[in-house]
Amino acid sequence: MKLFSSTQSDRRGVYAVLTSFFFIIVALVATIGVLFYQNMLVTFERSIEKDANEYSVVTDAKNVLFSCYGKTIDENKLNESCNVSMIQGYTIEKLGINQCNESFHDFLNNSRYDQSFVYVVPIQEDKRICLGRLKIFL
Amino acid sequence: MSVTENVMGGVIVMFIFLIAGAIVIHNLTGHTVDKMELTKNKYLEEAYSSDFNALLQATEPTTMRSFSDLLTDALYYRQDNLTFGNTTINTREFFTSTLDAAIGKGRYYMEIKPKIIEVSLNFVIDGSNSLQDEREQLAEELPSIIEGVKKKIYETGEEIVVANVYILGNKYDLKDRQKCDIYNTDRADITCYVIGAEELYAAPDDFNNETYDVNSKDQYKVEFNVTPPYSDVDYVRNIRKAGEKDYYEADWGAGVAYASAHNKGMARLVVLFPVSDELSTSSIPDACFHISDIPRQKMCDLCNTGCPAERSSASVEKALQVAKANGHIVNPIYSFTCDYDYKPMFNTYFEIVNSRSTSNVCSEAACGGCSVNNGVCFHPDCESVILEQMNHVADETFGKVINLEDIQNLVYDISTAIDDNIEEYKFRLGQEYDYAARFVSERSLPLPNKLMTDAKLFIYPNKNEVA
Repeated sequence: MKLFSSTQSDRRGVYAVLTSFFFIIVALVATIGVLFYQNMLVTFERSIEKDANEYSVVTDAKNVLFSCYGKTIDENKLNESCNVSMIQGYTIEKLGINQCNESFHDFLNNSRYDQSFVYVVPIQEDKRICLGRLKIFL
Repeated sequence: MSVTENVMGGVIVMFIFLIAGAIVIHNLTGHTVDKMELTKNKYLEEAYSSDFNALLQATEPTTMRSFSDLLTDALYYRQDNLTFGNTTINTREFFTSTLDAAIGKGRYYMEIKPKIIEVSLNFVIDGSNSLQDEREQLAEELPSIIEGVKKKIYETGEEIVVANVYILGNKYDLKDRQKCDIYNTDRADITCYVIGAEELYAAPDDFNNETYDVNSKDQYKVEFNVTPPYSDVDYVRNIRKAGEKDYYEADWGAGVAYASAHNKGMARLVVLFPVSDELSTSSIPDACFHISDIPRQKMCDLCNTGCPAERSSASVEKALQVAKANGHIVNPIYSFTCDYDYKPMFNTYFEIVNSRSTSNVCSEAACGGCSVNNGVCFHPDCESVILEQMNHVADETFGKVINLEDIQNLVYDISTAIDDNIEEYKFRLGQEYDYAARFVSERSLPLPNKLMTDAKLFIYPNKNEVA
């Protein structure tokens, strides 16, 4: 009688264990990989949604400002600020071109903001229409 | 051996998993990036469109007219300098300074051109025999010219192109009336008229405010004083009897005025083509129209070499005034191909009236009608004056003179001229960059003649635009 002697069938058992173990490892790595990728994608999507949301917020804010000051901005109304809660603030600058008087109206709540978005806007000065820049801060 | 196989199998499976995963992730990432770009572009498109609306409202300080009004006026009148009362403004300067300040230098390109859905082609052809070849060639090729223009302006398939042929002649003369027979007037888009002195010139009664219909299509004759060159107390519009060459047979100036007035106020592109080899009102000097004796008259017609430049110029100026007032383009066709209808009996006239004349009088340089060296031409000395006057009317109406050296080129020359007319009917500002990323906003604006026009503003965004 030989102690610890291995037969062919014993060797098959060892191979089977090794193979199974190896496949489990492969499955685990693949699952972890997929989960990692998925997580990465979700983060990426969220970042895009955030950007898209910013565009939508800034468009809404512009519409609110137009409803406050008029689609052609009435310069006389620019003494008062318009309540737009979703943004950090806004500035309206009237350009000194075509004999229009330059002016600047600052409605920025604080100096901390991530991004700014600029629009060219018409501003009524007496009977004529001048051009200005509306800057919205998020 | 079997272990190795299993391990390798596992490695391969893992490798396949990783590759497949990488492909899936790559696709998903690409899709997400595209989505992000799309969102950003949509926002920028809306933002620039809003900017364009603001720009169109901006007021010019001296005239108080809006950017959009001045833009359409500058396009319609095709002038940078527009005058309103005592004020003249340089529109291009106003547009450029406004766009530079609002959008930024080098970041925009603006183009405005009429939305052409209807084109009216009008050929005013000298009724004399020397233009017979041109009339026949035009009759043959007119359908293909119409189709060519239709293709050029094609957008929706609803575009309309019509052609009117006005032959200058005596409508009471059967031979002149028959000159229209060669045109395929069964087609709804081709019409031919023979117009003569009655149609071309105002009669004295027309100037009587009490009896004249001011809403008439012929009101322009009174407004621009389109009268025959020889009208006086004994008012006459026909100098010579039917069948004899009269001045109105070559009065392409009055013909253009008539064709322009009869296309007035329509929201379409109107192009006028006077076709002639003579001065307007003919190259025959004044003196010849007052000779009643036929042989002497013919002698005078052919051999009096004086060019009636002033008489012609007066007629061309009327054409110019009417066409400019209606915003029409004139492309005169100069067809001096030395194919004047020489008749041997002319020599008989010379022999009868001029004792010095011989049977070969037409080889003499003094004879305006015939010249051996230049072929048989009608008043060759007038050539430079005709071209000068044609160029003048073309320059003033933004057209071009077609020098028809070979009649076979008629279709090509006309089609090219129309293409140029359509292409040049544009107003451009800024620099166009062919391959740069851009956002385009478009607006439809009305021109003074009711034709709609497309104004396009191209904005080239900065690399990190938005923030």
